[in-house]
Amino acid sequence: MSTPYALLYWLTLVGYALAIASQLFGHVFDRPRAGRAALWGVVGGLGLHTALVAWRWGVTGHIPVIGTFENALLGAWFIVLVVLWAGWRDRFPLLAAGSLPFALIILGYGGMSDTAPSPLVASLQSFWLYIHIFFAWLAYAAYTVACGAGVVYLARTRRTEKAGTESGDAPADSSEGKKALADSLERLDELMFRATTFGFITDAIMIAAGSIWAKNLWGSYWGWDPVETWSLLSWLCYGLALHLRTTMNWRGRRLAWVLVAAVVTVLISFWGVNLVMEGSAHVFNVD
Amino acid sequence: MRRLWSILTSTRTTVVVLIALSALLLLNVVIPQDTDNFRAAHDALLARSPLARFVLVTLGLGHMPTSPIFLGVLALFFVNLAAVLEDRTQSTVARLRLRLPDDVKLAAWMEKGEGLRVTWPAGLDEDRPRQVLEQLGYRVHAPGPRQLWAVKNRLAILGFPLFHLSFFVLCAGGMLLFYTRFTGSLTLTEGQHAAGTFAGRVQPPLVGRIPSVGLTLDKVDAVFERGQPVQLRATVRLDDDPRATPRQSSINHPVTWKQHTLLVEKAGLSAVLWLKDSQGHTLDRMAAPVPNAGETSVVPLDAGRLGAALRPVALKDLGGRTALTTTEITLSLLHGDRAIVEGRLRPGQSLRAAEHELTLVELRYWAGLRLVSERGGGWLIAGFVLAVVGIVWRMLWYRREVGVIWDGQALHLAGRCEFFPRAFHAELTAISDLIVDGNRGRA
Repeated sequence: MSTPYALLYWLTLVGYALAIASQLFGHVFDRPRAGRAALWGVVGGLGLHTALVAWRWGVTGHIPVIGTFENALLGAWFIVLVVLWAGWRDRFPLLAAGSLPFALIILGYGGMSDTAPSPLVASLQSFWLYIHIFFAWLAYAAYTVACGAGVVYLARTRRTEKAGTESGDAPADSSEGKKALADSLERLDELMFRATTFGFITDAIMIAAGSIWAKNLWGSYWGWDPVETWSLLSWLCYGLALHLRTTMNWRGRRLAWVLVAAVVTVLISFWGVNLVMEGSAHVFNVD
Repeated sequence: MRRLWSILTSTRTTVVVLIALSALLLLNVVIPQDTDNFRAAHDALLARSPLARFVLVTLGLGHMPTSPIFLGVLALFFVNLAAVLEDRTQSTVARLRLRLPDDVKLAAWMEKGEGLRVTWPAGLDEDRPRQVLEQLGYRVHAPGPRQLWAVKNRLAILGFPLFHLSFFVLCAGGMLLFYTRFTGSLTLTEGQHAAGTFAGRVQPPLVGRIPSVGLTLDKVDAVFERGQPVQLRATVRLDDDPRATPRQSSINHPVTWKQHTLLVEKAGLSAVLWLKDSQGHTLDRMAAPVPNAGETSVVPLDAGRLGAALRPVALKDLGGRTALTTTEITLSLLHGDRAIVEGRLRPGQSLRAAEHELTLVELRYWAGLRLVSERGGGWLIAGFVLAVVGIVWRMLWYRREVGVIWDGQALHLAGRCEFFPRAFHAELTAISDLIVDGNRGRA
């Protein structure tokens, strides 16, 4: 990376980290203003992040989708964007604290890899690449939101003595406080379900698009490649979560734990498999 | 039988089967599989112990798609799926209803769902609730005077069988692909013709015959940028095509016709060699592929009496087609394992030994092609489409039911939805506002 680019990159990372820390501080020490201010920090970080993505695009001449660094850059951008939208819309600033650490880890990991720009190699010159990656990142971002909502749900239900509304005005033991807590838990529960549903649908499209692309690139719709198989496993896990919710009425803490555990399959799908298994045809690097 | 049916249609069975499938997919990743990319690791594990042999071969976990355990769990998955679909047919049809069941009173129904009560504005048109509901896309039915029961997206429940039936379509496509799949590799030099023979790896179909495909390789284009392959194209003419129209196969854009797909996978230099004896009689002429990397390649000459060893030349290091006339390659003329003569040649130059002369006539490109023939791709794609349409339909256009009762002084709204109750509460409030205030907010 050039020095100015590296500076912008680290500013973005630090910005996100400070925002997360501020939100956690606000939650733990009951300082709702710190939480709300942190949300603006995330917005600012996203602005810097967008500049990073645009800069990289300009330098390479293609959408940054090649290699660990570019995938981390764009993937983390999607996660932050979707988390910000979901948190803002559903009035859950704390959602960022539950979900953004994933984006931070992804960005940090990407920054440690080879950042040299690469030309768009022949195997990646396909319309299906963009469909596949777009829906992949939408799915992963949605799953991250679901996980983040689960984390917040679990944190809030542990603090039943100290119910917190978003405005933090009503004390926990008041009926108003209890109503506010119940309302926020219900919204979180619905957010978990919505995000999982959205992720499941976009994940299905991602797998289908990848399969069609694989036919053109490798001559086979499905090759039982480790990354392919793991992405199917991850999709099945979220399918299981949806079954548990819709037919066995798993809600609240039970669903939250399922979604927090399930996000691990997503992380492994993208990073773990290629770290552990060499020889996968599904490589994100061109080395 | 009833108990068996109850188990087969139980959601717990579904959960158990999904967990079992997930566990097997996990094993597929963790255990080295008997595939091209992981065969070495698989064979190394196999050689370790009888237990490894038992796991990999007897249980079949070394090749998951054909493992009896995996196939058994998959079969159970489809049996469970079929049983659940059959079991839910009646309830699915019932949920398509436009009206309340005959034995259910609207007032009693409304007590069970989300409810709102507002004052009926004086002078409000009594047809206003129906108008608003119909504008919002509800199908409305009046079970009695000053009563309405409305349903929206009543067909959304059909997304459930559609999504789940797609798995059968996907399975059918997958089985067709598995049983009819043929792959064969061949390496051709520009100008060469292949008539249904595959010198490289061949995987015959489990059902059917090896396809007879003839083609001529006209031209190869390989483009590099900063040492990275940014494009590889092979122009071919198919024997199947009476007009012999040139067709181009490139990375991500293979040539497809009937059930065949021709992919271009690699390319390199090809040395056109001419072997003569000391009197100038031609002993052999051939095009010998020069490897891009790795070991020196040895090709037989003169029916195996002699050989030519070609050292690798990386295609990415050359300057394109224009450089072929000036590119040098390192050649050795062999007798058995012994090199008779060795040297670096450009096109037109020769190696001379006592009784032989080996001339590098010209350099061309070779292309590594792979032919894949299979049926069932259409079923697979149809399955994908059905799955996506079904799940979107089911989860996003979910069914909502609204009941309205008024008596000229108060308006009572209540309703139910399948998913997202908070959003539905907001929708009910918006409906109420539209009826009473004529607001144009979206419900």
